[in-house]
Amino acid sequence: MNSDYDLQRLEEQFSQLLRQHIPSSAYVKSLREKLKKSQIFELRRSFGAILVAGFGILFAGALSVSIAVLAQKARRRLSI
Amino acid sequence: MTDETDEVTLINLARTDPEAFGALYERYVERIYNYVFFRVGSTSDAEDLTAKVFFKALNSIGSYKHMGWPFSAWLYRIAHNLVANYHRDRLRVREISIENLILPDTGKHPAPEQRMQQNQENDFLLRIVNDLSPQKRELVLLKFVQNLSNEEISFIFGKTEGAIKSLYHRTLLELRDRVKDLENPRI
Repeated sequence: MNSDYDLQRLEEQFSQLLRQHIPSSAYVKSLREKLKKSQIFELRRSFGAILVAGFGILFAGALSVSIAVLAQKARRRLSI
Repeated sequence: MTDETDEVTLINLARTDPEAFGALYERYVERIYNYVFFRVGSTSDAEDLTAKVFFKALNSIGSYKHMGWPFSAWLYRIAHNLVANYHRDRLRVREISIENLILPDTGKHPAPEQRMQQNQENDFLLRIVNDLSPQKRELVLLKFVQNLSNEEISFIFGKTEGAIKSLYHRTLLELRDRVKDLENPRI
């Protein structure tokens, strides 16, 4: 072994040696399919839709109440 | 669009879009697997843990907030914690020696002399790194193999950047001493 074995060379060699180990393509493909089939995507989409619908109902409710209050005020003014 | 904005967009899409999550997965699976493999020393455990890392990422990506760290640092942090649990569950005092790892066939078949020299160098490297403490070994793996910055490693280890710099400095000194000892063994 060379005596001028410096750390930079050590770093390069270690990096080369260990980077060789990668997962098999069959494993990568099968895990990808399992992840993509997860129910969580559907759940998140449904939750998003429920949230949007909830805000929509809240907004419609607030709008109806405001219109009713305004109509009530207008009727009172007309009756005086 | 810069790489960072591209990644942030992909992360936002990946919360609800399987294809976007698949793209993130493809980008990092080899690096995460490689990191896990060299911390557990077995292909089947590395496969199990890598799957756990990505399922955990999938479950937590909804609450992921981009704080300036690369997405990979977040994945390494999940992997670091899962590997720590793995060793704790098995009550292993020391992590598996990487000296005993069977490295895969690279497909290159050099001449016998070259192969012998290569094997000697590989043994030498593995002996040096194997003598380090598990934390220093992990640091070497993250620095040398995964090419992460001190800042990213500080996020993964949950330590300050200064602490990582100092640990790295001590690790380099130890490596240098170890190289000297192995090249000129004391009689």
